[in-house]
Amino acid sequence: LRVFAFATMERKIIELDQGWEYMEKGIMKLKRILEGLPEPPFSSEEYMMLYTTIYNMCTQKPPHDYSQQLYDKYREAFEEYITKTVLPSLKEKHDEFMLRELVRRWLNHKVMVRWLSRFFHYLDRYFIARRSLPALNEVGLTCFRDLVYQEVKANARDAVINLIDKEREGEQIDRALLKNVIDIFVEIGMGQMELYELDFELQMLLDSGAYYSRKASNWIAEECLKRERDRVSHYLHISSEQKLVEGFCCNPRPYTPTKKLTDLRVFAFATMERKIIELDQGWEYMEKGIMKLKRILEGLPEPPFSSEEYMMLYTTIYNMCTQKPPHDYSQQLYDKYREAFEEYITKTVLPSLKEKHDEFMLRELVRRWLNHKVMVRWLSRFFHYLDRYFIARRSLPALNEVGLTCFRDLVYQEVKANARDAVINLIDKEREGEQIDRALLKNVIDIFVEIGMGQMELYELDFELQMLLDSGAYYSRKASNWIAEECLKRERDRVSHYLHISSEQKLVEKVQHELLVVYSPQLLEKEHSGCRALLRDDKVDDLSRMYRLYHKISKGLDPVSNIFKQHVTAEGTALVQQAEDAASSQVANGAGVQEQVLVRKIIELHDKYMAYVNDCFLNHSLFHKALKEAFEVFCNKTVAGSSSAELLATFCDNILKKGGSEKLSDEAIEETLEKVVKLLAYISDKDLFAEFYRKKLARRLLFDRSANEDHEKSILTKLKQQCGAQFTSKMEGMVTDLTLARENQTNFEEYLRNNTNVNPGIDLTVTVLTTGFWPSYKSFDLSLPPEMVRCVEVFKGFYETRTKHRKLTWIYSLGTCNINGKFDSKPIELIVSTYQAAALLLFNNSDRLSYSEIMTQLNLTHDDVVRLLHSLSCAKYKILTKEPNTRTVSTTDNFEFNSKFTDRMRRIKIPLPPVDERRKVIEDVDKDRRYAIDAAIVRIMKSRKVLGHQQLVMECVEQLGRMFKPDIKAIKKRIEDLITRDYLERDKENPNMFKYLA
Amino acid sequence: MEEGKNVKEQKVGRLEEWRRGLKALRADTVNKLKKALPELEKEVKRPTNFVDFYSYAFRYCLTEEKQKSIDIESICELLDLVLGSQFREQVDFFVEYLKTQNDYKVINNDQWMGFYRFCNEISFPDFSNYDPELAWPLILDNFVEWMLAKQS
Repeated sequence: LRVFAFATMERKIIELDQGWEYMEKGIMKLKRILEGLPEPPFSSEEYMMLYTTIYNMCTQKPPHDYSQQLYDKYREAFEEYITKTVLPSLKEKHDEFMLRELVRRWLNHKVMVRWLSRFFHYLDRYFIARRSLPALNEVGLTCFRDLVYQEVKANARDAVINLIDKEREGEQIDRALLKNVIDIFVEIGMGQMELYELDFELQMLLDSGAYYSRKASNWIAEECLKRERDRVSHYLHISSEQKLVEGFCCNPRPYTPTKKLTDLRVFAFATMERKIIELDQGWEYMEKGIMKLKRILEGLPEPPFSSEEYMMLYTTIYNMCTQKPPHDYSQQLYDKYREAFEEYITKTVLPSLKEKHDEFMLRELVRRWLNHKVMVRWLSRFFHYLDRYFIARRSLPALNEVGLTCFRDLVYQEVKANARDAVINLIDKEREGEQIDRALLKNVIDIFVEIGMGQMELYELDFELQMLLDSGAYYSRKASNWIAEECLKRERDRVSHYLHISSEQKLVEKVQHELLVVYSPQLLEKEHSGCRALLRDDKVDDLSRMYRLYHKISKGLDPVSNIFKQHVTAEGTALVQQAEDAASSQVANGAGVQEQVLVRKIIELHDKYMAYVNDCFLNHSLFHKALKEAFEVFCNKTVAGSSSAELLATFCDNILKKGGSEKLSDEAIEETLEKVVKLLAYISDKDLFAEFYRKKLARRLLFDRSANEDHEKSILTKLKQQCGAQFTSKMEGMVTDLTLARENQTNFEEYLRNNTNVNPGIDLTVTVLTTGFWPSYKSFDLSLPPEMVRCVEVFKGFYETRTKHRKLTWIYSLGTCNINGKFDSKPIELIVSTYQAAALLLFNNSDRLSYSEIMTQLNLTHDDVVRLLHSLSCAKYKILTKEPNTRTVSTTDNFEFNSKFTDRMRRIKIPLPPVDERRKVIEDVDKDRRYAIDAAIVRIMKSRKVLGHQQLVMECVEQLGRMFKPDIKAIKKRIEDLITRDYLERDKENPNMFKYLA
Repeated sequence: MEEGKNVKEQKVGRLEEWRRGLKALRADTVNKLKKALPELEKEVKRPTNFVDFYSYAFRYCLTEEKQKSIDIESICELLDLVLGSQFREQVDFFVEYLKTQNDYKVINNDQWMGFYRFCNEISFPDFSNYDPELAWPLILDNFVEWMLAKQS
């Protein structure tokens, strides 16, 4: 109770599945107990929990009130147990053993009903009571009655009667068993005796009469009566006593109102009065009965059979079959039984069918079949005694079977083709949208099924095969109209309405085959409605439908995903081409802008088609692969001479730098970075991206151009997640370096304050970086002006106080200087690079310098000198005047300080255009790749010792693929080199094998 | 065989080896040497022996300590000398290629031996059985490419 209280306190909504799962465990346990399997009995706690589960599920607010579902499931639980366990166990037993099993099963069933109805008791109290539904107990018993009792009652009855007859003959029988079986006949009536009377007693009395009519000659009535009374008291139902005793009484009694008694009296009388019945004479009597039956079937005015008539007909057969040879007419009667059907069919049924056609013929057929079944039922009752002895002993086809066979051979075989065609016509009509009589079709189909007497062969051969062929043909005509899904739904519907359930799968497959497989190329390729068109017009619903249809067919999605891939590839390639065209037509105006637009567009394309993969194609791996392969195609193309790796790096730079082209919110930046990193997955040259990225990151960090450190760190985290820690370790080092450098600068400034004697008189900021993290730069190239040399020395002095065994390498090319220009009109502060500053400072000592003098004094390369002199004399700010005054710098030029220069600003920045880094980056990456390939080859060979050439190349490509796609020639070249360096040697026997030399 | 190898080495000759070789040939007079020489030449040209000879020719040109490769110019001379009579066409084209290309300044032993295998195995000049997927030294891939470009 504590558990119960607790459970209700903590109550949450219980879903049907979840609750039922719990109930099923209980039911399973109950079944195991019933089957006698080792299982502890139900504890009160378990019982409580099961009850509570039902209680809770029934008292939840709608739509979580599962009363109706539970009520249904209650019945299903019985049905399932009966179908799976009870019936099979009964079917494999016979006679007395079957009876024992039946008794056991019935007792079990009652136990099951008792327990289950307790678990579900809450249903009884409210749901059932309010709706006046059958109570749980009744439902449980009804299941047994409908599924078990109806199935075995005839066998059980015959087995009981046989046992009674045996006992009459003096054998010992298990009376308790009989008692139990009879109880079933009684109890199954749930308070009514009708079933007992109809299903058991009637036949038992008939048999008793027949028995005693044989025995009558040895008249031992009194003893017999005593014994029959005894029998009743032992195992028959008390209500049968009087009837049974009267059954063989020789004295005709006065009329009693009980109908059965009257019948029996007549019967008993007849048996008493018994004389030999000749065949003709007996048959004449039977024919009257058969004629009456036919008139009833034909709908002619005729009163129904009275029990008396029925009894007389049965008795006639009984008598004719139990006469001593040669008067035992069993065989003749058996033949005449069949002839009766044959005659009726030939004379009446077939002519009436032949004069009708199409739907009318079908109606007639259905009517005739129903009639025929009625006829079989009645006739086989009249002749029933044949079934019990003559037929059983000779293993002949049973009466029921003979009756059905007649119809099959004479009617069905005759009309099946017409009937089939008529049905198929109607189905086609319905497919075209006409209203048809579905009930009629259902009935006709039932004939095809029932005529097989348990086998589906005739249905399949005579109807289904042609129907499927026709469906195929129908849909092969229809395939051009894209209505596949609707069709499949309708065909399923059709099956549920009138076709046999076994046809559903076949029909659906047929339609699928016709609509989707055979016509798939047309469907997928069609100009206005094919897969391409759907993709082109963004028909997401239709694409979803296409997916649903094709994913049921083996390999059905392959062509769809292929078209998807082609489509995405084409779209992406078009974007690349667009950017290429735009770039080549606008070389002058803002190179690089088009590329940025391109990356944006590719990201949008990716968003769009990733959504397709997720939503329309339900995340199917085939489509993920298609998307990946498509993007790999166009994401690795170059645009206006830039590789995609460079484009992506530039794109990132634009987002991350101050005043970049993209003005975005923090969230939008994060999102964009996320997407760029995703795109990187499709780029094969990831190392090249890393190198470009590092170059640009270095510029952002060193020139204080990074907009937001958080974003810098965030993208590194994303890159790290996707490409691994090694990929980002240098970049992370760069970011950390800068933090350390700031700290270092603070310390340096403090050092200068404390050591005023060493202060160089110039503000100096030094950023100390770690070699290896950063891209490589030229160092120590410039001859510094003496002022700056002093600065360097001071810093060295400071640095040595803080560190030991550290060597500083100075990179002047990255430096910036603020210098004062004392121009005639006003002094202007010039922000220049260290190179430019060094050049300008030369003019403190000389008014005029030639190109070669400058070059010698600065100790720079020709390219550098041209570049920086151009920035000072030919660009926007002409700090130097050039002689001659042309737009380009040549080696013969002379330069002078332009003291006339002025500007409205007090401070100006004179930019020094950066050297094109692209070539250097590519060279660096190539060099790194050589090392990477060497390392991979050596690693592989070290573990494999001996390896074939192709395998080595393959493994190498695989190992390196994460970073870049190595060129096969490059690998060969590295192998060649490693042979020279004695890491490898070629096998002497097999020139395609390499050996590792330790 | 061991003796034959010694003999081959003597043909090119270093004083010590020369003497040892003459002894092995039992050629203590000029006449006896003259008689021995045609035999010797036959011996060398027998294919099984020629590989060793070809390989030796390369090693012979390595004059410095730890030297593993030979400059293109010397290689061209050497090829002409040792393979010229057997594979005239191949040698001529290969020499022409080596002199035009810029990728290689030296040739290593593997490339050297590879070329001999190439001459023996590959149909020339159609290269119908040449498969660049196999482990041919890259320089031979390039050579075949160059030849095919030239032919078309």
